[in-house]
Amino acid sequence: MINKAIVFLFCVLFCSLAFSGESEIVLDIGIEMDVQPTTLCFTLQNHSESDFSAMPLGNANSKIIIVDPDKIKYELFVSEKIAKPIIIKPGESKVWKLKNFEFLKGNLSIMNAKDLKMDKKGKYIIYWQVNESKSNEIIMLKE
Amino acid sequence: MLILIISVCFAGGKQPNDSGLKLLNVRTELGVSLSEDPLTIVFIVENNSKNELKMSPLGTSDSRIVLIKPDGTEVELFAWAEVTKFIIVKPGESFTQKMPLERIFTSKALRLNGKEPFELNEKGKYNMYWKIGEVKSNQILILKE
Repeated sequence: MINKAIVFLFCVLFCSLAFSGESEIVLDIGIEMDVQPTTLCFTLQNHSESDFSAMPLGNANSKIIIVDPDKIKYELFVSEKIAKPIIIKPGESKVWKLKNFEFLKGNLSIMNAKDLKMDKKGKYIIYWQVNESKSNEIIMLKE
Repeated sequence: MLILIISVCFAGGKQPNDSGLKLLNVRTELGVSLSEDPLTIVFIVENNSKNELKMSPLGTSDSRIVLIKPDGTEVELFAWAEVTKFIIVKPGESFTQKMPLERIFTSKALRLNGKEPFELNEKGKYNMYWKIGEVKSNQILILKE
């Protein structure tokens, strides 16, 4: 009986350690006040106890995802060949900004979203994903 | 007159859909307009109920814009105006209202806990949401630097 209890506790401890890592990386998408043109802010907060290696927006594991009014999902990748990771220390955060919704206007190279033109009317949902961490969603309305 | 309007809005029950306290199957959302410049916030309400939804314009009566300041305190954008024209949203339909973000932040109608006038000068992260009665929308994160 005691052995079973010990095994159970061990399993609980193992699971909590195994799945706790990504939740310590908090992602937010917001909009910037007092800045023209309109700017989206992507904030990564490292609440873990170790350094976090983050890639620039749209590179490798840092994906911007757009769901169009027909619920079709697009992942935006920047086609830069060399992108250096940024080290974010424990307790620190990093903000990336996209002015004027650049990715919506085709100023960024988009590898796998060539068909995305954002000309359909309706609601678009945008979020950001780094590894398993997912940001809040931003709704954008095209009329 | 104002008291009368507010009391009518929050009376609940007898009105054909007063948005006062019971709003089942009503969904509110905040978003950003892709068609407006300067940056404009859109307020979308979907009426998925079987009854008409009757609500007051943005920032009046039971339609409140709420900002959570960087220190966590909440302020409401609340206009002390007489509401003479209500918005009716039919069953199965949605309605969109718009307001420039700058107007929200510079509004003199901001109230701290519904009382004192207030200005938003602090830098940091603000969260904004909209509520009609007890129905709250998603939040939008706003960064002020």
